[in-house]
Amino acid sequence: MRCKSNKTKNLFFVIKSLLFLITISFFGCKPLISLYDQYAYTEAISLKVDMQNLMLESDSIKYADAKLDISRVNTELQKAYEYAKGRSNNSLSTKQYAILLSEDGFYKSSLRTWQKQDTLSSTSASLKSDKIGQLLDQIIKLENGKNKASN
Amino acid sequence: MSIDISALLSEIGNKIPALAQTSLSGYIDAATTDGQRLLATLKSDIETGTQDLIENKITKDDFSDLLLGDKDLVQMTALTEAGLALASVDAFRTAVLNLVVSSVTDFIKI
Repeated sequence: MRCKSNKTKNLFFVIKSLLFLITISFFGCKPLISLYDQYAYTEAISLKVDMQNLMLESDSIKYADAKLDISRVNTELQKAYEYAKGRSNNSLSTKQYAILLSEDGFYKSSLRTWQKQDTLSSTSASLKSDKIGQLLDQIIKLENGKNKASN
Repeated sequence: MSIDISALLSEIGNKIPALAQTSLSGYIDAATTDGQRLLATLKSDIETGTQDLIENKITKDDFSDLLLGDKDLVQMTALTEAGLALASVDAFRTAVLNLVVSSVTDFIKI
C-alpha cells in the first residue's frame, strides 16, 4: 500500500515536470532568431538576379536610359527591407538589407559612379555584378540557414 | 515499481554532450570554412582590382566602389555568421527539450 503511494507520488512528480517543461517550451524558450521564411528566401534570390542584371547592363546602357530599371530594382530592394523589418527576431537580416540600401554602401556608390561616367567599362560592370551577387548570397545563406518550422 | 528520477536525469545528462557535439560543432566547422573563404575572396578582389586599375580597365571610382563592396561583404558575412550561430543555439535548445520530453515520456510508460 505504501509502495503504491510512493509510485503515485513519483508519477505526479514526473507529470508535473513534464507540464513544467512544456510550459517552458511555449513561453520561456523564445527563439533567438526568426524561423525560415520561404517568401523572404524567394524574394532574395529574385533580387539577386535583378541587381546582378542591372549592374551588367551598366556597360552598355547609359545611366539616364536605365533609370526605369534602376527605379524598379530600388523599389524591390526597399520592399524586401520592409518585409524583413516587419518580421520578429529578424534584426540581422534587416541589417543586411540596410547595408545594401545605405548611401555610403557599395550599391548606391556604384549607381553614383554609373551616373557620373554615363556607362561603366565591361570589366567594372562584370566585377560589380559579381560583388552584388556575393552580397545577396549572404542574405540568402542566412535565410536558408534559419530553422524550418516543424508541423 | 517506483520511478528513479536520478537515473532519468543522469540518462538525459549523458545524452546532452553528444547532442551538443552534433548540433554545435557542425556550425563551428562551417563558420571556420566561411571565414577562410572570405579572406581568400578579399585577397583575390584587391589583387584583381589593383591590376585592373593599373591597366585602366576600371576607374579610381570603380576601384573605390569595389573596396566598399568588400567592406560591405565583411559586415554582411559577420551578420550571416551571427544569425547561423543563433539558429544553431535554437536548434540545440529544441533538441534538448525534445530529449527531456521523450525521456520523461518513456519513464512514464514503464
